[in-house]
Amino acid sequence: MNELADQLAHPLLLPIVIAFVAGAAAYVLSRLWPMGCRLIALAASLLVLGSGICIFYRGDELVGWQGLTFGWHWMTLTPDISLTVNLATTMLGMVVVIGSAAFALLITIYSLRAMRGEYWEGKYYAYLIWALGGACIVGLAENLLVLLVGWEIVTLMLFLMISQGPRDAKAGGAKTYGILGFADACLLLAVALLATLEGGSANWSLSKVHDVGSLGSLGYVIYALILVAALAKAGAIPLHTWIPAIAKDAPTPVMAYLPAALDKLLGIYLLATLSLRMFVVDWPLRVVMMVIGAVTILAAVLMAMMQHNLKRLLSFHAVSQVGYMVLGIGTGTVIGIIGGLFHMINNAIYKSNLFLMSGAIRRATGTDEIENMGGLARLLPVTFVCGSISAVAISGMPPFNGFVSKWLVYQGTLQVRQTSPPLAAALVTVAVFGSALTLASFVKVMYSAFLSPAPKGAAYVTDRPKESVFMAVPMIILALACVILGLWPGLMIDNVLAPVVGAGADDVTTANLAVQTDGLGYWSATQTTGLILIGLLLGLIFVFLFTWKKRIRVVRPFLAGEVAGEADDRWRVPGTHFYETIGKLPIIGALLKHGEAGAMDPYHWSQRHGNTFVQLLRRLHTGLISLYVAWALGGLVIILIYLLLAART
Amino acid sequence: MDALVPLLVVVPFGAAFILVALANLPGLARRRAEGGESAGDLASAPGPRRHRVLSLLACAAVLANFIIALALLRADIGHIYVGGWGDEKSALGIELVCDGLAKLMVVIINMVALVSIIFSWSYMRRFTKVWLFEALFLLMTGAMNGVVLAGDLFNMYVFLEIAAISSYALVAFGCEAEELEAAFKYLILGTVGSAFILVGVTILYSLTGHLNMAKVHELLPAVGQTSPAVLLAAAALLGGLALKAAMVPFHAWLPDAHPSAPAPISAMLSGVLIKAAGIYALARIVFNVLGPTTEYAAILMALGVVSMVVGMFLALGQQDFKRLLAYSSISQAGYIVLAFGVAAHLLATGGDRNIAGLCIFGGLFHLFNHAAFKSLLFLSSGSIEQQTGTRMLKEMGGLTRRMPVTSFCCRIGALSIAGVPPLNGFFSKLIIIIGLALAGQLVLAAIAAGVAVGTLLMYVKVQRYALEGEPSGAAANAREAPAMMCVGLVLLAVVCVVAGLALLPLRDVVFGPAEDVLLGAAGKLTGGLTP
Repeated sequence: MNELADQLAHPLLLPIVIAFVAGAAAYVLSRLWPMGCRLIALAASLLVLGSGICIFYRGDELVGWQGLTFGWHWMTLTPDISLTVNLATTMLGMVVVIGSAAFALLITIYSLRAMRGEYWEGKYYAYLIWALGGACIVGLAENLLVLLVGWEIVTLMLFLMISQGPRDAKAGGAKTYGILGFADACLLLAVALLATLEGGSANWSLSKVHDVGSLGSLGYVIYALILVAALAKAGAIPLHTWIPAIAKDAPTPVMAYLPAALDKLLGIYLLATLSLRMFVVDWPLRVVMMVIGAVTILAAVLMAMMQHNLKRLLSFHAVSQVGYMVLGIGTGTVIGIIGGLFHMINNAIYKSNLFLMSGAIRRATGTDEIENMGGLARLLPVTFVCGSISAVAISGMPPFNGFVSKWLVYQGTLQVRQTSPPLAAALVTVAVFGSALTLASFVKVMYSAFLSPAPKGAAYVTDRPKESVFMAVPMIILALACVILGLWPGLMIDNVLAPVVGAGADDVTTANLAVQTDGLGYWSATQTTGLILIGLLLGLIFVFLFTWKKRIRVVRPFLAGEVAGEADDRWRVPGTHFYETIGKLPIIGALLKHGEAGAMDPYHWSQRHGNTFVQLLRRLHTGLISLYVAWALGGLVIILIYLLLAART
Repeated sequence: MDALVPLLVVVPFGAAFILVALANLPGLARRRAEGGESAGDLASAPGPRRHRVLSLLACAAVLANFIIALALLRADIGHIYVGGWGDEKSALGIELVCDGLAKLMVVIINMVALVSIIFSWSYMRRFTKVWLFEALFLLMTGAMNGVVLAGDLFNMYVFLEIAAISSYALVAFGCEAEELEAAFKYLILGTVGSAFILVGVTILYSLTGHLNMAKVHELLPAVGQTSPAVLLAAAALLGGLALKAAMVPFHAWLPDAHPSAPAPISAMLSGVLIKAAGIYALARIVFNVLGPTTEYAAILMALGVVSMVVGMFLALGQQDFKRLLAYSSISQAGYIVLAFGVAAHLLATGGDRNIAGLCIFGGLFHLFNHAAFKSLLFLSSGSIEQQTGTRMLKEMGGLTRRMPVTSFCCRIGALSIAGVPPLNGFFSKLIIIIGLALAGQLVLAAIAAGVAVGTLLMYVKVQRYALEGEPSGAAANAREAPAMMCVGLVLLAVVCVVAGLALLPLRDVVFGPAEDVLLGAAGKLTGGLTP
């Protein structure tokens, strides 16, 4: 018993235990005392964040990165296979833990306003904290089986949180659980297959390196299974469809927390662990990953441009950005991997912030449809500024963080030219083009929501909604993070990501890395920012000079005599139709149309074909006893014939 | 301790007859009749008080059984000959074998029986002649105990029949058209299965001159394992028991019978009857009587895989909550049979016994878990049906807000069966899949993982339609179920939560002896026969 107590007091268990206990407390109190649940959620995410940071620093100073470990042998299944709980700190794992806790804290603050008064508010906090606990398990796991447990807990919490939305949310929730459950099963199967390799359950260790090629086809199968799990969680094509499906109806904080932030961290963490630690990846697999990345970037951003619903639009961008991460990690080059991982962090920050922005807009206007928004820049200045920073960051414009990571990914992809020049050229083109389309898409959003004239007769114009402090604070923090990481990317790259890659990348040492980052891949953020600011200032001066003392005249549209009334909204240009043309292009348009209808959605296919099979089976069950007796007799005869034939040979 | 073993059969049988006798005692019968007349439609006639006494008696009998089963778990038990009119050398006579496997099964059977009878305390109030239900229930429970304790083939058959016949009556207990039809189908198909089994038993008897399982096992090699007569007997037994276990293509009775019965009976049928009468007997016959060969292993594996896949697809297409559960029972039973089949294959081909043991452990653990969560789900479906008046998933909605306890337990059951950690279903599926992979059956492991996804989907559907969202349809005005029903649900939910983490480390204590029996490591089935 004492031993157990000692084990439970282990520092690595601390964040996990805190999260699960706090979640349970919040769940129990959910109906009785919502205020208590809020406090518990705040305290728990703070404590997890604090304990994560403590582990991070203690691990660094005292025992080194691989030193702080926890191992508990649970039970032996066969001499080779034993179930053990192994935890260890890794740099990237700690990024996941601390990042998840930070997001949990910010989202909790945001939810204090956004979720107040929801009937399931208490449970919401319980799920949120449990999801954080699951993420901590994943981040700290040293064993694939332990990771799987955390992984599935996060999936479950996502499902529970989505399903509480309005009626349509439940279909999306089911789809999400279907796709992610499939991913979980792939991971489970990978666990089982790894156990068949020489050494049994020792193969579950994340730090044991396997060579994909030398394992033969089984190695590829295992790799592919884990890859599917990682990509589905992160939301890469073709397993991305759950994100757009839930975007409209799931509560906004949930979208900002899980699909935008946590699931990206976890999915890309697993992808990086898989490709950098567990397996030595060969060229064909890297090509597969890079192509998946590139296709994801382009296809999702095209879909995003067509959307009229803000949250759905953001969800397609959430998919598109995953492409950069997969592409970066798939390159296998040091810079590419750093770029991919940095993009994971950056994307979590600005994408979460954009979802928070959409929540603030919805709270003010009561709508997610971009057509019905407009003129919000004056009403919601904080949201506008924070949202703009995030939008510019996601579009990959300097000097924000999104640019830095995309730049690194481009550089990493360019290095692929040493192996295959045409591929490198194609991939970089797609990546840059995708970034440009992202910008185009956000021009539409920012214009329509904030800068265009407000729709006449919209209730919010007269109500004049105000910003909420609880909702503004997380957005400001995240926007600041975008700026800081953009101006001083070295904070993250030198201190955190370079060691990660130095420990596991192909054949490039950290020393080599320093040269490359200084030379080809890196860029000087401060210098550029100065130039950009000067450019902006000049632009402003020009604008000021040209409009100074010029009066702007507003006239009604000329309608050949017909009188356009004050409230006539027909002449407003909402900006949602900016890119309708894309939908009318010969090939792409058709693809997008079918894509929207689910032609590229494995869930949709399996539902359809599965249903055909189910109907066939159901038609066989006619309810006639004679038929059923015939089946039983038939079964008996088959068994008998089989036995007799087998006995003869 | 030895003296306790027959009580497992005697107590429920005795209680059943006493119940019927008490209910029909002239004095009581008259008063009940008066009560019935005066009260007419009212439920609060004097009758119910007496019913309560009878119900209490039934509960006490099941509780006693459960306690005995737990007490036996760690006991060292020899061979028990009942009646004294046959000794160990005789071909006739009743021998009870309480080995590791039987002990495990007895615990499972009586655990589910206890919860079901607690649940039926409130649930059965809407029926008349509840004592009849209780008597049949006790008969079925006692007969199942008998099946797993029987040391000879014929007694196993007799107990199978008692369990089956009482279950036919219980399925028809509501006496509505649908229930009668289901019971009739069940009766016909069940009888076909029983006939198969009887044919198999007869042939084995004629070949060996013995009915005792250990003796038959001992004498079979002399007859020739592959002689056509043995194979015919084997086919008949496998077919008949596969029918009792509802393996595809012998499954057709189950989706009608299980949903039509009152909820506690559905829980018993899906939770334990198909296991005690089907899977347990199948394993006993294959491993301990016929001896595992590659052919029998292949049959078990084929039955398991086909049942898993077909059951899953049929369940996915269901909108009726209880039918969905029934089909999913077929699918989950497939997991267990598949695991046993792979273990038999390993044993027959001289594979690693540790891995065979792991497969058997996975199968037995899943058997235990399935008994817990499927009973839980059937009981909660009963609660929901009683409170909302419907079984159709699309007519419910938002039950979490109307029936929090039931919904919570239902969700625990759904997540357990879907294999979500850290609930028990996750671990048993994990062990089965790892076992299959280690046994070299990578394709089967992949199918098992795929079926796990399908299972997840069907229970996502349950949660989505029944539990989530705004209370709507029939659920709009539903209220929480009576306390005794909630008690039953909560008990099983606790089992589901605790079993995963707590029972797995107890493998050596709880499952180890049972594994050894099937592995043949425990020596002969009845050590006493071959001293």
